[in-house]
Amino acid sequence: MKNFYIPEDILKIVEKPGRYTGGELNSVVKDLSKVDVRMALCFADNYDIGMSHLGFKLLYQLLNERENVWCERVFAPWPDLEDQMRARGYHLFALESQQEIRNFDLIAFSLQYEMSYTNVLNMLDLAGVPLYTKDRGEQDPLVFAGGPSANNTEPMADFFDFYNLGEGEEMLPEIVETYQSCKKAGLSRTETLRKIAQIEGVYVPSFYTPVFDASGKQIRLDVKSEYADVAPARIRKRIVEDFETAYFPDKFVVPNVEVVHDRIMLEIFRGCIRGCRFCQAGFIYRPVRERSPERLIALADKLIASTGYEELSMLSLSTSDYTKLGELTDGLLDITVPQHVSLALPSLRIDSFSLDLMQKVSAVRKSGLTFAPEAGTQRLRDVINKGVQEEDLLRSCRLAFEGGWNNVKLYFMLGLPFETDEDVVGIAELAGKVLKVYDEVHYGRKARRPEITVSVSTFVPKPFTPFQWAPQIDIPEIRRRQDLIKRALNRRINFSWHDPETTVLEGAISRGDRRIGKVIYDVWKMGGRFDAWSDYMDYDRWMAAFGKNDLDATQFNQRAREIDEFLPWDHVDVGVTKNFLVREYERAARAEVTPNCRAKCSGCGAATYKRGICVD
Amino acid sequence: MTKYRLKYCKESGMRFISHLDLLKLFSRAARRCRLPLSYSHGFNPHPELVFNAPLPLGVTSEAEYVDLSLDEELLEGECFSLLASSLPEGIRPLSVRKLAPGEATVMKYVCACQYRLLVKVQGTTPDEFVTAIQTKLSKNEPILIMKKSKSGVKETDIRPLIRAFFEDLEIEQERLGFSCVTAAGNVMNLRPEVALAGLSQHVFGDAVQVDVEEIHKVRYYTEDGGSPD
Repeated sequence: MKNFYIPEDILKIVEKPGRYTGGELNSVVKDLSKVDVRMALCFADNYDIGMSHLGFKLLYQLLNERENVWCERVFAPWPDLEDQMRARGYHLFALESQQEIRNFDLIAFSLQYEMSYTNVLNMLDLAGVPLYTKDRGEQDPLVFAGGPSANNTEPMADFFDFYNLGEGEEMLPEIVETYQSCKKAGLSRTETLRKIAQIEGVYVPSFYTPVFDASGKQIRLDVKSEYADVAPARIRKRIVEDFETAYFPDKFVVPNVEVVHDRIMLEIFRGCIRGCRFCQAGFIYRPVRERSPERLIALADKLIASTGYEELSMLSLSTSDYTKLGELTDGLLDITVPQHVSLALPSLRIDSFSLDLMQKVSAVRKSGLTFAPEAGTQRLRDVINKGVQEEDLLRSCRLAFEGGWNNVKLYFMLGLPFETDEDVVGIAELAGKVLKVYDEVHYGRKARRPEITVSVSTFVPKPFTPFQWAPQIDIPEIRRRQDLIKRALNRRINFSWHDPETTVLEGAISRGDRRIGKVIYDVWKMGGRFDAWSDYMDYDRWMAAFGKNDLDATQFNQRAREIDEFLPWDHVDVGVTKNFLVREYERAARAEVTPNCRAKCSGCGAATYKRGICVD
Repeated sequence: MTKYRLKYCKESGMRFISHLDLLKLFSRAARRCRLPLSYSHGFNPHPELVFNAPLPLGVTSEAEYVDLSLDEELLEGECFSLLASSLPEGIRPLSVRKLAPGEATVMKYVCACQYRLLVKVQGTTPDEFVTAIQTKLSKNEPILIMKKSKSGVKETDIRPLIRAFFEDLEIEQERLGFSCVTAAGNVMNLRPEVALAGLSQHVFGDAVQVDVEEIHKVRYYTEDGGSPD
């Protein structure tokens, strides 16, 4: 019988022990005698979240295609297990080998959101690896990071030996190969980092010094003179050579225990043509690149055969913008229907075409509909460049209600730049109009109770967006605006909102500089972990950590930046230029919309990659 | 539509997965090997799978059953080899039998179940522990415990639900391995660790502590002493 790293008597008393035992279908076990590089691919949240993430699962399969590399999965143990591990001296382990990761070569973190940063530190500590780069010795693994929130490298810069900036499919093989040759040549840690720093898209934080002025604003990032020969002044995001032929797995690990998104995820395109001004993903994944229906259908066929999943979901930032959506859907349905696989088309813009699609799709299953107008008035929707008109939304809802749907969720954002009380109340008014449409459709007939939910999150300004200079509103103001909606909202409409504390912390970290690292460290030291989970997040602990480091969180989240001020992420080039972002911020102030990439090129800078929509 | 009964082992890491997870696991395995499972009609179609009573988390078994309805008729051997090719590590098929039309489900069939337990005894020696409990059992007096059932917690006499206890004893220092047979099925059900805790409590009170380290389900019994295989 297989041996587990965590003994049975512990496994029996923790929640969902199947998270820790490995051995899932399509997980990869290798013969150690044939392996040159061992890598721990870490997700700084629990198994249920990490195993729901396509990028994570993709990179796992990609790395294991290489015979001499063994990449294993590592997740944050839930606090019930962590307590047991700490009490009895167990270290963080990898699922496949059930061995401690402190003896691995590389530890990689996929950074998805800022509130998971305390988990990164907790996992390193549990692993027995020194948290700070400067404290690691020759025998310690190299610890690095990639993923969307890694694009602001600075808050976690003291903890990572290097960053992978750009698409992992493109960079990781080169990183692993370079590491392997350094290991073979017996190079020291610093010599190895010097080699890795020369890979395009790699940033080695310890080779640079951020310079601050007296007021505490970062004014430069200097390359340390001894590394000037290897460390570039700016690091340019790398993207895959050819998205159509780029690696996509034909199998995925199938969890034995339930996870959040437990299905085949088929990435139909990357990037987004829309350019909504609040959306970081819409800028950092440019240019937009599509996969052909032929390739996707062939992949779907293989993935159903290798995983047996009962659901297949298209994945992209905006399904409706896929150019051959009709052809793709029909082709996929030809495969999925006979095999009792349901097809999901998330983030659809609702019009008669997509409703027709959904009727076809719901031959297998009918779920709720979601709309994301994001703002309550047309003026504010123009400010954020969300090209949704009120008439369109109401027409879509009417079509949906007539088609038998009664469950509609409306997503909005609160605290957007240039937002007024009128815009806030507009959220309640727009939702009220949706309800009115429902009543009209069902007038004089016996109808099911409408399930209309208004879900309001609070805006967090993010780097690499036109709103990267904008202030975030404070907690009392968030509460006041939430109350405005609550009071104006029809009682028959459900209302859900986000807790303001987490939002403002996210705001402070996401535009933070290198000094924020100490705050994150102190929060962790005081017991912070799973801060993305409201049950575990403790706002006072964060405030205490800011205080201890003589830092004012409001300087990071509430301060409006000067347009010409140096930003702590200016050394990263994601393709989109700062000039373009400035132009977009100015257009936002004038409530001017910018056409989408397909309608007209706005010269964002991503065309320098000469890929996808920029050249097609 | 033809029904087949698969008997399988649940072992290794799979003993930590829940009943709900098992349902998905089988429908996925069937899809991978293109086994033509029948699906229910209606709003939310699901495969027609009937399992025996859920195994508690952590318990291993060499006598698990699932009745599968198929749209096409297959040879038993074909059905077995298809599933064997696609079931994941820890779910090991043992046999497949085509069911007679209208044949009862496993849980309707069975009346008792045999388990193998490994326990650690503290507060007395395993020998004394066994002897004292055997003496208690031989008196055939009611043994009342507070037992959870669907209708809540109530006082139950577990003596008639214990068919055999402390068989095939293996004693190693403070550890005790043994087999037992307790009532199982839709009418009466007694889990072996509940039986053991009840017996220990009756004979020793709080003076003895018993930790159940392993439970392995060995087989079901039908009324006539056979099995639902």
